[in-house]
Amino acid sequence: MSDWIIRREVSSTESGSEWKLRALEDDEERGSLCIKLPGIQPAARFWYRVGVTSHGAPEIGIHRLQRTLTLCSDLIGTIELAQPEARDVLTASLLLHAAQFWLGLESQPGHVFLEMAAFTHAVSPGTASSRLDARFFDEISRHFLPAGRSSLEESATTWPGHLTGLLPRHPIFLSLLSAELNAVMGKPAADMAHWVEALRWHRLVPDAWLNVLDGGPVYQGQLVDELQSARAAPREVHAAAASRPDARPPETVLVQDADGEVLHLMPAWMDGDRIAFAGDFARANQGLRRSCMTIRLPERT
Amino acid sequence: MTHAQDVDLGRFLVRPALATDIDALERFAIASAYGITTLPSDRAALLERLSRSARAFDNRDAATGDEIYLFVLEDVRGHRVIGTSGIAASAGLGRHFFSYRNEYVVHSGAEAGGHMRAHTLNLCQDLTGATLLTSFYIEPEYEGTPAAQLLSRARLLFIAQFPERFAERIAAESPGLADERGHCPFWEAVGKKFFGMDYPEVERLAVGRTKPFIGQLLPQSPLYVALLPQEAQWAIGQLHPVADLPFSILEDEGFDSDTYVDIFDAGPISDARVSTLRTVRSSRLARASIAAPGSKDSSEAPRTWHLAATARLDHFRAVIAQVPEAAIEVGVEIAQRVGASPHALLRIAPLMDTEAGAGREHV
Repeated sequence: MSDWIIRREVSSTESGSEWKLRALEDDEERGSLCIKLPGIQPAARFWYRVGVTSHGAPEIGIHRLQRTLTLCSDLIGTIELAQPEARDVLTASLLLHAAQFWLGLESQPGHVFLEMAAFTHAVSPGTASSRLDARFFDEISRHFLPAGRSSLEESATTWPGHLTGLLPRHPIFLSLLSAELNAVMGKPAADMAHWVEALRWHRLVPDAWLNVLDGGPVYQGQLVDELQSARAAPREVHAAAASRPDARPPETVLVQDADGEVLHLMPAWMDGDRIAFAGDFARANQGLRRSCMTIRLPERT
Repeated sequence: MTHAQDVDLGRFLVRPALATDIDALERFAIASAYGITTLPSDRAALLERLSRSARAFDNRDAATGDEIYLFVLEDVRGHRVIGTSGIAASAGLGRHFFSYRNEYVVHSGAEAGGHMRAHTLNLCQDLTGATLLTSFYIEPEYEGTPAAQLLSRARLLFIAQFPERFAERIAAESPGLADERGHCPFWEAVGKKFFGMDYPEVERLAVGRTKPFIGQLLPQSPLYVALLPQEAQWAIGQLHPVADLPFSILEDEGFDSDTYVDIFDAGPISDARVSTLRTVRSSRLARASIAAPGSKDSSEAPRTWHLAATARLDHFRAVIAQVPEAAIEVGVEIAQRVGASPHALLRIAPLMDTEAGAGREHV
């Protein structure tokens, strides 16, 4: 098994604090994820909420449901997972587990969301796709920007905060938009496949919200389980050979090291309040209490 | 364009439609199969409208607001009915009359560094209760003559004469863009999504945009025009070519056609205050001369073409005639043409120089 660690860097921003998680396999970075913890006064943010309105006329026997996009700020105050990068689904899942580990350990709310870039069709060969290439941007967003696409940087990933006043305040009826847009709305970018799978693995699902810039899906859910058993908890470390009671296969465990900002991914045997590892880590931490969490990872693809 | 001097204008007469005009109305309804929803190509429905109209003209008591008045244009030389027009006293019978109002929502913010003016369509009932001009049709060979003005504007003389029967606000629907097969780009892009039926079918059900189900099915929140398909955007406020003539007459009257559009085809709905219309403002009462029949009008004042109408509800007639400018009396010949007795009051208004037929000829 490779030597995996997840390193956390903590910083403060105007609107809260931010954790940057980096996953390293044998000292090579395999992916990263940013966790944004809202402060007391989080900045204004908007999403489209996908809803349904009912239009019925019993007089002529017609009843139709209409899907709508309505501007909302529902997710303000929720922890955001951002800037997801991962070379494979295992790395993505590991980063999510690491987020789960620290959030649980620090008693942060377990509800999180992640805005995913939207699916785009037409990207020139050899060029990176931009959120501004999304059909959603072309059919909706650009109409609410004074200078259209040129109002934004090419690298824009979300609606600029200083332009929030320009967003449409009335519901947008999806049936009035093109069939092509309806077909791709809320679909994630093709290069996010690893994250899509990892998020599903963690039961985070695309729900009722879309990014206002490109209509990309917003995955959300309870990353940290309410059950204490699924959270990181301190256990006394022992060397595997001494405490292993039987021939059970090891569990996959994330364990926090001494300075608290690094997690190690290792096989281990749980035994009540004790945990047994093989190798150097056990020898260096023998008898000490370290926070651990058993995890389950998807196949590496 | 045909000028007044090119046509024998004395041959045209507008009068209330009678049951005996049913064949002509049916002919017009078929000829105008697209565009005039108030002229159904259904003989029974037409007879019902004629009956309602006759009752409205006969009712000398206070009007209730649900009256319709149908007029016909007759070529008296051949005793031939060549056109029709109408008035509905109160759009939606004072209950519901739906339309879209063009609005512009300005989105801005102190830090936005600009602002966005978003064109929206808002479902509204602003025009409920307004008087509606309806059912205009004139046979094609008369379109370029002042007879078209007579047919359209005679209604305004009627309204000016009997204001208590009508609202102060007045409107007129004009058909929007659609092809011969009933394919309507705005309907396909908007209305059909909420009604789930084809345009002809909803026209049959909606009965002049008055049915409450319209408000139940169409969204109550504004529609952002920029988000609609291009073809539908282009159709908003666009006029079907068949309505060019009556629309231009209304424009010349001073109707505003920028505020409202039809909920189904997005054709323009023109509206105005009655008191601001040119015909109403320029109309005046004149008394029929008592000069002996056949005698000439002795006034030396230059004469111009006018519309002249009787002031009687039960005997409304309107013609085109030459009247001395600022006259308070009109010639006995005019009185005879409209069937007015000596001393009877006539309401007159100058014929306009319009695309629909110039009338500014001094004689």
